[in-house]
Amino acid sequence: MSARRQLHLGLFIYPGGHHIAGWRHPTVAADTIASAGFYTEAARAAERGKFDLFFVGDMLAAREKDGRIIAEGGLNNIDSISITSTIASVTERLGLVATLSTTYNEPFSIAERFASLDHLSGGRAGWNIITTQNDDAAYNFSRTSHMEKSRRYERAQEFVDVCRALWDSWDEDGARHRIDHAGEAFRVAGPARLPRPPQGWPVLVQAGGSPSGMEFAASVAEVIFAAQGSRENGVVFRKAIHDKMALRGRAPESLKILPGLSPILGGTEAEARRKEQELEALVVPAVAIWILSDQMKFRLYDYEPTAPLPVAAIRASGSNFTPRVASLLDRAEAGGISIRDCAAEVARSRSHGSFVGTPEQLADHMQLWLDEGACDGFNIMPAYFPAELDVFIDEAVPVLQRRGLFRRDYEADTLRAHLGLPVPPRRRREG
Amino acid sequence: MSWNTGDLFCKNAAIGLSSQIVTIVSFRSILIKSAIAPRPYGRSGFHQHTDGVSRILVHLTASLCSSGFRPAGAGAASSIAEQYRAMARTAERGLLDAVWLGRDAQWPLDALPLLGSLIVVTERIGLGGLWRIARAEPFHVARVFATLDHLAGGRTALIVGLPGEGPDDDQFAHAPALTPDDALERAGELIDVARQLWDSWEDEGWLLDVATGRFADPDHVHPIEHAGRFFAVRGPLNPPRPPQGNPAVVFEVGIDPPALALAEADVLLLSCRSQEQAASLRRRASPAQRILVNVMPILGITALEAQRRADALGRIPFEAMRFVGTPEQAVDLFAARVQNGACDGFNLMAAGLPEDLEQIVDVMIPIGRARGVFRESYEGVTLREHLLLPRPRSRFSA
Repeated sequence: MSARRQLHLGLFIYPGGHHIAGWRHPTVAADTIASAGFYTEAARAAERGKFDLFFVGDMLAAREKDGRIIAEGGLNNIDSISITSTIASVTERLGLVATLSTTYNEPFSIAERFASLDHLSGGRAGWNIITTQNDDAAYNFSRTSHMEKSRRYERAQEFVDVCRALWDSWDEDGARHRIDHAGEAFRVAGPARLPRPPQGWPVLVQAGGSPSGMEFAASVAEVIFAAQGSRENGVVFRKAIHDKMALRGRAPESLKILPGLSPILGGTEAEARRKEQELEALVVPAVAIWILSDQMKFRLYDYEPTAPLPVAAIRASGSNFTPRVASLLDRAEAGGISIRDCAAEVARSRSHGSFVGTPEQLADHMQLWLDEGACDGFNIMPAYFPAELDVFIDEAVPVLQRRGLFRRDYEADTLRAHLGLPVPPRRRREG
Repeated sequence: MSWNTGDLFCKNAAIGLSSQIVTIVSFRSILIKSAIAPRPYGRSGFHQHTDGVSRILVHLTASLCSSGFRPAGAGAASSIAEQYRAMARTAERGLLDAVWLGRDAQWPLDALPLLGSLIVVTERIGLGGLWRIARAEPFHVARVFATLDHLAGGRTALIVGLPGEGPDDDQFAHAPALTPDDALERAGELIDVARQLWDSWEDEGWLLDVATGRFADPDHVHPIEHAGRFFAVRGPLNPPRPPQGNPAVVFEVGIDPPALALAEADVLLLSCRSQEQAASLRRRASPAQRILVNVMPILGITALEAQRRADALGRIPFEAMRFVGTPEQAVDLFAARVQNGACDGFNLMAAGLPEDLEQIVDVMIPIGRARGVFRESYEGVTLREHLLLPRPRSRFSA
């Protein structure tokens, strides 16, 4: 019997929790959400649960409106390299994925930062490559508005090319080679100052499902952190990525797609629903509408919350929408859903997939996605930490393991090995 | 010109550049037993400072690197991460104020993830990381160090690597070239913006009021709206105000530091050759700044043994002073230098790591502690507290 295809699991950490009101949950020690203990506790739990990786996002601006911080907005992502390097010292096997933007960084510096994390963690580093889409960030980096999206991805592609060349610039025997990169955005001579990372390169992760993002992922990514609203969309997306990879001569196994999934679990479905309602009661409506505005790049807080979502005006604003947002726009257009109700939906998981039910039901859900080809695993986004993470690990992971859907123990020490990805061969540029 | 001019005990200690090593003639034993008794710098002496605050006499920190600062050190093959963790724990066992990261020629790791990797394996010691800021963005610098300072509970320091060092311009050839003066001006503006961003949250800004759902008080969180020659930054920062207010800011300098370092430093790590040079900088700097003199202690159970070791090491490839002698002599010299107002303490750049640091911690520091020269326990929690640096208030606070 051939081995069953198994799930890969990431744990996506967030200060307090992924639910916008998660930090207010009675089980959360709110005053610890920026302390090392908050992150090390979650990381140790993830390693106990045999997760492939620990995932930290990035946000280069406070949650604000016209320069004024949102009072009830909660803490967003603080620096991901600081967090992953901190937890590297309390874990042994867990992969460590940090998010850094190619729009506001320098390739030489970033190649060195990830090489360092990979050396320090014994080959467990991953880089979630983002191009940073919010204008708020632009204002913090001496820009007046954000770089247009396709240009951002051109820069990202060249940025990654430079990083890979730098990681490849040392031979096994310590001989070093200049890279002499001269491109549109960067001129970098190389070589790196550090030996090649243990994994060759950190695992390259991409998040986001826009058309240019998909092209970039098909070319570069080894993991996609996806935001697919439905299983059907997941199947279509994964197939589309595999097709684009084939055009580039890449095998489908060389990329793992992990949609975000925010579970709220209960011993019974009713209990899980009750937990969800308790959380929703903690949401400040204005914050939910702010999040929706942020996702739609449209100032919905200037409208009456009870009014229907102004779909036509939002579409006319010309933004590129993520698949989740596009799907919400379609449903709101068909059903006349109010701004407030749309906001409540995204507040749940900041527009990623959510699941409310029992651990068995969750396992069914995950199995179906895996078996129908909608994903290769999930990036788990607990509503709040650590209690909801512990429930997932103690109740859902054993079900997945019994069904042969998930590893019972680690079989390797590096993130690449957990994901079944090979160490990339050194590539030497021809002079 | 020599460091030991006028020293109380220069007869017993030999210090100076490798070219001016004086043979040591003292063979005093440094058995711990004999070290317990004398207490020439007890609490009734100058341990009590004029400001009425009880403070340790000599601040000690250590620069860490993978095999020591001797020329062409032989690096151990074991995990680089474990080597650093062990050294940081050793330094903490010695109750040092801080360890400094980012000057490792053999393993030039990025100091930021390296600093992060030491946070949860230590509890009290300060952790400083070098950031070469020639191509950096102030928002990144402020945000990363705010994050690290939160994770470490207020134990971090930013070591500012000024333009003109580190990876050469070939790695950033696409960036507009700046004259040295402009590069320094940019660095100054970067530090100013980073400090504004750390201040953008007043202490009162972070409410975390679970009952009302108010996590922040917008009246106490401020956009900075900086518009300068090199940067335009709106703010506020997304991590709240760091536990130390501003993480300590450190510059590594020679005897003629740039004005920027003198203006901005909380700590100056000084490479110099004489006590007069150190004292001269001590006079120019603010009393609120700490000046720590880089020193490579080459210790031996006997002075002769120390000298043999020094001879074997040969020349040091950089301008740190070298001390050759017994641990007792080192303690006495450090105490005298601080007493004479030449500096506030010393930054140890061990010739061989980890072994020299272990020797310093296990032998020299207990001797100094018994004499009231080094602290007996960490009295504070944050690095600023170890260094007796005040915690700055936000510039936005009334």
